[in-house]
Amino acid sequence: MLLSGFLDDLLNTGAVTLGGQPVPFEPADQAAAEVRLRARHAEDALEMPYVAPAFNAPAALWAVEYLYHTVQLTLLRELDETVVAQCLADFPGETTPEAIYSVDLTFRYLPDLLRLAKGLAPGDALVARLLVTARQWPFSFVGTPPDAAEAEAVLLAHPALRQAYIDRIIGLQDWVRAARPHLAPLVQAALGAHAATLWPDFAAFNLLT
Amino acid sequence: MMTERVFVLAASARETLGGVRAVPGLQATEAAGQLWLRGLPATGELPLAVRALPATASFVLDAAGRLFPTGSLTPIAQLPTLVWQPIRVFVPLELPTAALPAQAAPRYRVQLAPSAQAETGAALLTTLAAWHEYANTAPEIRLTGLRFAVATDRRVLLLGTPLPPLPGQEHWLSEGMLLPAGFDFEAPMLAALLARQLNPAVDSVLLFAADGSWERIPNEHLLPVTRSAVRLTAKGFGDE
Repeated sequence: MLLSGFLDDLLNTGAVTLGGQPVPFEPADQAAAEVRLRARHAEDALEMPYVAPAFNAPAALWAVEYLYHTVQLTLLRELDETVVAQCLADFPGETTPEAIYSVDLTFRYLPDLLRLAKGLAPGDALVARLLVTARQWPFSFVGTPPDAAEAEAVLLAHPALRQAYIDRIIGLQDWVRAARPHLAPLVQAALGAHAATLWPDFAAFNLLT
Repeated sequence: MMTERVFVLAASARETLGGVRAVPGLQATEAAGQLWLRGLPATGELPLAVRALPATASFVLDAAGRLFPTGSLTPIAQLPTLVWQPIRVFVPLELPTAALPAQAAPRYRVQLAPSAQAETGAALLTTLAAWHEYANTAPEIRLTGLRFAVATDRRVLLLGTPLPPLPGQEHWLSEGMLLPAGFDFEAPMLAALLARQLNPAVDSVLLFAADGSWERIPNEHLLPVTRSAVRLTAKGFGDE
């Protein structure tokens, strides 16, 4: 029960236990992890604005396995690019709002891991792979350099994801994203007439531009 | 040798002794339906208060304890052995019965009056339906600075900044009390006193209405706003 145990640890204590080598997960383990992810989705959806996208089990499961392997690869520095590419394959399904939100249930922990990996070895294959993933899943990677606006099209078309995305940009004071022409009006709308008190730097920046 | 003066009064004249309570050295006792006084010097002028007593007899006492009527050289009796008390003990003070009915301390009825002073809003009283609808979709940063409490009649009190743009009654904060916007205490100087009187432990928020009525909201009933807290509260009231 590596994966479900990892998930329990991640959500409850923040101190995770991993296997020594990347190995495929057992179906029973994956099923147990899916149950936990589904419960996590129901709990998290209460905090989402509007109506949160429905649970997408394959996406959620792919994401937690991706996170698991990323932690492993961060610790096991001797593993090469092949293993990285094998363990951290792209999501095979369609990037729908449901997939974005279900992936985010665990991907929201990846930015911290990316910073950690960058600190350990900025140029290694793991960091490069994570940066690609960050551009593919902008909803989960607020605070890291964004990709072209097209990557945000699906999430910005969904009211819940759009509002939660803007909330994260404001919460993390992600300047780079907030200043982008298609996002700045949304950030301004969220701050309303209180920009000067809620995010003074943003208000000042808008006055200058 | 004469030592002191002795007076005899009827027992019914006890109240008149109140006038001589302040005379130094005076002692008194009661025996056989009569009041006895002693302790004044045998010679010299008597204090006016003593002279005003309705004494039935007055004597001068000699060293042998014999009683000489005032102005007489012949004793007529021996001073009986009595238990004497200082006059202040013999005639204790009593509080007088009030001639008029007692008056309770005047009660101040809190009254609010329209005020020309514009104060910054600190709270909003709105409805659960409006609040629930707003919290469902509002940006998170507009929620995190707020606390809320819901009454059984579905009124919602929101505290913090910025207040949401919702219909309702805005309130401002005066000495820890929430007053409706546009109103102030009729006697604003009493605000601090009133706060200490109504909320001595400073463990509640006092919410005033324009008619001067008020209600207490304990601080622990004011919850930090999260979308889930609002949604679960609304669900508890049957709103989905």
